[in-house]
Amino acid sequence: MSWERHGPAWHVPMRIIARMSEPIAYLGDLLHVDAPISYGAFHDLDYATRRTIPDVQCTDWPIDLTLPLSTWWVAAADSTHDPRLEKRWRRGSDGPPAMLWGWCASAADESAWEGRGAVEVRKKPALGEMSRYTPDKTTHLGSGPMKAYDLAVPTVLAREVTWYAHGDPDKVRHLLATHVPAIGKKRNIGNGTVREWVVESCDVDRSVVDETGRLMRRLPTGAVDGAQGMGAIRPPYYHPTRMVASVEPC
Amino acid sequence: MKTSGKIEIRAVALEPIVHGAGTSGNTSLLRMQPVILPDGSTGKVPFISGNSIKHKLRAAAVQYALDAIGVEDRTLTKAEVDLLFSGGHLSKSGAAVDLEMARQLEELFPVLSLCGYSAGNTMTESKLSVSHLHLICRENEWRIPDDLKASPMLALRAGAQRVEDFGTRHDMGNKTPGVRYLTEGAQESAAKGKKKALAEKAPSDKGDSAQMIYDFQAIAAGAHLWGTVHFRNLSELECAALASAFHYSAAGRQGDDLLTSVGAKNSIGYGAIRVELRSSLRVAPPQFIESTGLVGLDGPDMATRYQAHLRDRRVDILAAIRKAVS
Repeated sequence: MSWERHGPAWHVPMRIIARMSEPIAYLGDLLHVDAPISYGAFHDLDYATRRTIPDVQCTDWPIDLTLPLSTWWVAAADSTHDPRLEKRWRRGSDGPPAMLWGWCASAADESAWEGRGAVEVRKKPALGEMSRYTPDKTTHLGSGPMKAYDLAVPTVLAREVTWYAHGDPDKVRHLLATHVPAIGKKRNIGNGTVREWVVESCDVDRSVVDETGRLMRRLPTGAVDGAQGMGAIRPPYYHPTRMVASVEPC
Repeated sequence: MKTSGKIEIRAVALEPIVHGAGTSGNTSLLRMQPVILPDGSTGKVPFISGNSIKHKLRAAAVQYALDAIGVEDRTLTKAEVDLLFSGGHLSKSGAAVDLEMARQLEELFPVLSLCGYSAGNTMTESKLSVSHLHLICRENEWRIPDDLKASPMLALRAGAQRVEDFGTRHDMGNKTPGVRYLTEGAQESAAKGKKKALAEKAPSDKGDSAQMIYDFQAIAAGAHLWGTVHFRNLSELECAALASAFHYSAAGRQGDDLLTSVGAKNSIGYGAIRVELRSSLRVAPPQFIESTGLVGLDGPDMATRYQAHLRDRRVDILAAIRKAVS
């Protein structure tokens, strides 16, 4: 093992459970729990502050919000990633070198998936309205940015989804219960709805690896042995600047 | 001041609801959601997708705003109509985002920031989260809201609330009065084709006839459904836009309830529902208090102020929409 954890002394191991009422639109991207916690932290900011932060989809470097979680640190094994992903965990001339870091928060326990399906998302072009409001003679339904589509997004079915994290359970509970009504993709149209969030402290820290040494989340290459991949290590997980050569949990 | 809260939807199907997903033969199949039941078994329940409800709200809110502004026919571009009624699309690359444009659109035309949109190189997240409309049935008992736990509909399985119906289409090229409007050549051709088909094949085969019977599955009339619309950080004008969406999508009232329609085949009598809306505002999340108005702030003056805003800023609004897609 060549990773280390840092955080305030009062941080404790915790178990996070989402009791689900809808299937989760899930593309196999591990569902790390620091992603919804980060989403909650953003929406916990006051409105005026949020308006000063550029949209994640449109900025070349999304800022890292402060989360109530401990952090893991790993020395970078290569330089294929964005250098802004690295920093020193302690400042000062005698501090350590810059390292890759992320939040001590596990991926979803995929043994919870009891079934799989797909949710179809359709877009019908507004033909009637185009006919009324535009002077154009034709519109093309089969190509271009305004084409009709029927997109099938894979879903997983679970009664409960479990994660592990290391940090402040009360603050994590506040962020999730207050600001995160759903997880996964396509949340605004009814998918991945969470009925109840349960955040409870537990005895063993399984946020990064469990007591048997099993990897519980994605880490940069070199941190542990395991399946090699390429993936994001901290939120927003879908942003290309967060990608590193990684070890994937199995 | 920003308003967050939710609107609980309690609906009763006044007519069968057709909400299809795929076909089997010439039968249109009802859209079903797979669920894991408390005993570990799996089941499938029909539902109305949140996507279709959200689109209905968006289309109604936009139509209300365009009518209030007085937008004339044939004055918009296709990209503008796509932005307004379908949420638009990304058309530019680059990292420099025009935040001012997004703020301007939110202030001038609140429907877009309410429902979310893509324009230029910017995607703006919707402030609405619309759940699926679910059937009150035994398979959904584990996720039923507290106020519906005593519903007698929970005794029924989903299968007992599904029906099949059919429609017919007549080939008017072979029947009166349609046939008399055909040209002589077309009449001869139709008669010849029919004669040939009858001579060569079974009597039931009418050659290239367009006549058909089609079947479709539906949620039975009388079924009860529930859903939720969550909204957050709405400005006063966005609250007004959301209220306008509910009211403009309704065909009328029955007591305090709205009459509207969901699903397909609305034009031939399907999908009518009676909707009870219960609004509550988020005070200390996730706690809510009941609200008297539909979206908390909508009083008698709110719609008037919203209409006045749309009328008075007509030129600015249309310019901002044009700039967003240019």
